[in-house]
Amino acid sequence: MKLSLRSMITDRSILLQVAAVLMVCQLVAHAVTFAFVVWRYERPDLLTGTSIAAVQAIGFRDVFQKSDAAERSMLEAAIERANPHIRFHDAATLILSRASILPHAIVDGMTRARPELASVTSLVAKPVGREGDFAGTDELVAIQAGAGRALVFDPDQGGPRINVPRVVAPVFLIAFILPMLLLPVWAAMLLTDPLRRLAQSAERFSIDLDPTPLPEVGPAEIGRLAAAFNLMRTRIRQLVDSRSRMLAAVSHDLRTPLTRLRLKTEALPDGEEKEKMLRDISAMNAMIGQALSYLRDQTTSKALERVDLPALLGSICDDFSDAGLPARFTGPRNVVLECEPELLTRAVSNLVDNAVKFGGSAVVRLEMRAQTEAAILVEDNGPGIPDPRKLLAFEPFSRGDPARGMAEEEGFGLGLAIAKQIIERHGGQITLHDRAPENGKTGGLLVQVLLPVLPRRPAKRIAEGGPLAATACTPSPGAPL
Amino acid sequence: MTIPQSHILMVEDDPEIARGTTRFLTQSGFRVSHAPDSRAMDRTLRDAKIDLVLLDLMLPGEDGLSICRRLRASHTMPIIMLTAMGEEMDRVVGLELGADDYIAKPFSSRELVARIRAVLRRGANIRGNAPDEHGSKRVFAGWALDVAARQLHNPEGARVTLTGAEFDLLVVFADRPRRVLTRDQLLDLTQGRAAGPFDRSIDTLVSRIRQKIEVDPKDPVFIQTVRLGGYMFTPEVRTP
Ligand SMILES: Nc1ncnc2c1ncn2[C@@H]1O[C@H](COP(=O)(O)OP(=O)(O)OP(=O)(O)O)[C@@H](O)[C@H]1O
Ligand SMILES: [Mg+2]
Repeated sequence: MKLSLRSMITDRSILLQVAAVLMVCQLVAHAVTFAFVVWRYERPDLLTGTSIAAVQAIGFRDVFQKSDAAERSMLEAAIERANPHIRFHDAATLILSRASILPHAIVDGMTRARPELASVTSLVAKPVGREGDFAGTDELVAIQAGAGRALVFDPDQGGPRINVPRVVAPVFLIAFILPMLLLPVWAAMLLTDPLRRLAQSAERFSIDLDPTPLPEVGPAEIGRLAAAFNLMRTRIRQLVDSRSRMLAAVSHDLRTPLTRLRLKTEALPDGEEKEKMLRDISAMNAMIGQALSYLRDQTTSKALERVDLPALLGSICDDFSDAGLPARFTGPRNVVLECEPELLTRAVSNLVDNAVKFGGSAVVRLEMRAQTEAAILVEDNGPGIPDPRKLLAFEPFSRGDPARGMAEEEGFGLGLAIAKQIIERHGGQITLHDRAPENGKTGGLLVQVLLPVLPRRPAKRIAEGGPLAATACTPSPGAPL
Repeated sequence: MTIPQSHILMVEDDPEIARGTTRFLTQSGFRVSHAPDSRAMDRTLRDAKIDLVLLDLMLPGEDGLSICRRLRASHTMPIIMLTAMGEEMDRVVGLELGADDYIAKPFSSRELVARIRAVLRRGANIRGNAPDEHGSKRVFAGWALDVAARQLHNPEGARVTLTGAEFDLLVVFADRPRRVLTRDQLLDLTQGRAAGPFDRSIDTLVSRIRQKIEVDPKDPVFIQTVRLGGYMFTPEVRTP
């Protein structure tokens, strides 16, 4: 439970996670602020710095001090009448207590707003005096008014009372919620952008070994990651380059002695031995070719070309049968696909080569499976491959039954691995099947290759100024051919 | 058709390969000189009239591709590249730099001799009667034939693959449009490739080409069968 919750959070994209964390933080911060504000609205003295009551009280005190002693009692009565929260008391009768309430905040608030208040000896009074005064209030402020009188007031009175919900609702929405939602996303994007670029760059590099290094900017950790990535990229490039150089050197250095060997063998008197040696030399050369192409095709990529698939398959079979190896092609015409023709030729040739080597002859069939999918089926009459070995056969360097030792026909065991690599690169699939047995003979192997092809178009070459049957028999100069 | 003893210059750094090749080329009736690098090659080229250069791709000092480029600029004799790479890419590059053919190591002596003969014959043709067909591209009825890259594209722009022999035959046709060509002539004009025991007859090759380029191979239009004579390539061919 705990684990799954954890993975639920950590499996999301970093952007979402960061944004969520920021949102929660903001939410909490705003909530605290908001609660504080709402709470403090109940204490307007603090909210506004000083309460209106205090300002009034000080104003009245000044008036009181400047007035004639004779008028004072009249003045007191008038002020008390007009301001029910202000009362004059005999300073001596006040029970003063510094400890009972929140004096400092009140006093501080007042002195901050009105510096001249600092000089006022402000004391806090318990409610005293006349019955009914300050009912329900337990905090009062008293200031010395002079002449033995003190001015007592309720600091909570007379302060601004803002109707919190009414004013806050729309303002809160726009001013708080929107940035609360958008800012975290923006901040998270800012943070994760270098990561995103790193991922993109890694993707591009894995496809085409793109050499542009990544800018090593962003947060320190990501900058280090980018630097490490760049270093790794340089090293991979060096590896690939040195492998390409090695491939060139190997193909040259192996084929040069092979050429010598071949020339010497050809100079021998004709006979079975000579034939065998020449065959072995060809086999060795083919194996070198297989190994080189397996290594090379992983890294190089050529442009895709539109290619007529039946012509390609037909040519492969014709090349085999021209070399005395029975291979036949059947299938519809005009199937076009986008591919790297040299690679696709190599893939199918490997399959035909196997069928001829292990099954004696090959039949290649082309079938349309859908508008944009074609199946290439390569079949033979050989022993086939038992089910448990079928998947294994695609592994590089896997061949036959290891217990049986290496049969004479077997090569490096790269043929199927190369074919798979190429077919998958073209967005296709390759699978091995047993061929249905027919008239007593065992089935042999059926290799199925599914490849995406372009939608077929009706043959319309004639309409496009192609050869016209009527004019073609007796070619006239300048005929619109 | 016999060729007067042609003088072949072999540029190859491996002495054993050079010796072996020289031996069977001499047996096949060629005169052979050998140069282990580009400087020796330049010397020989100054002193003798060379009919064909066999050029190894990997050489100490100046490499084969750059020699090929240089030779093309100053000489007209055909060049055949020898290479251990055996890769399509090198072949295309070599041919674009002006090599006339390309043979992968390890080659068989028979194949090499056959290629040399074909290139020499083609060279004679080029200088003889068809000077305007020197370019490497032919276009007919929307089809594009690129001789250097050995590629054929149909009017829709898709590549149509041909085997080596089919391609050679189609080039022979495209270079001689609207002329009746007998089987013997065609055989003679195409016999560059190894004439192996399984080599197909001209008829087989023609029917395969028809499969690939005719709208209806049973009712061919491009390559017509001429009764008693042979074949005729009917479309108009342009060399852009
Ligand atoms: N058509 C087939 N019939 C029977 N067995 C086959 C067939 N094709 C492949 N195999 C088995 O699968 C193994 C792997 O085939 P793969 O083409 O990868 O290697 P290979 O042919 O031995 O060597 P390479 O193709 O590299 O020259 C073969 O050694 C063979 O045992
Ligand atoms: Mg194989």
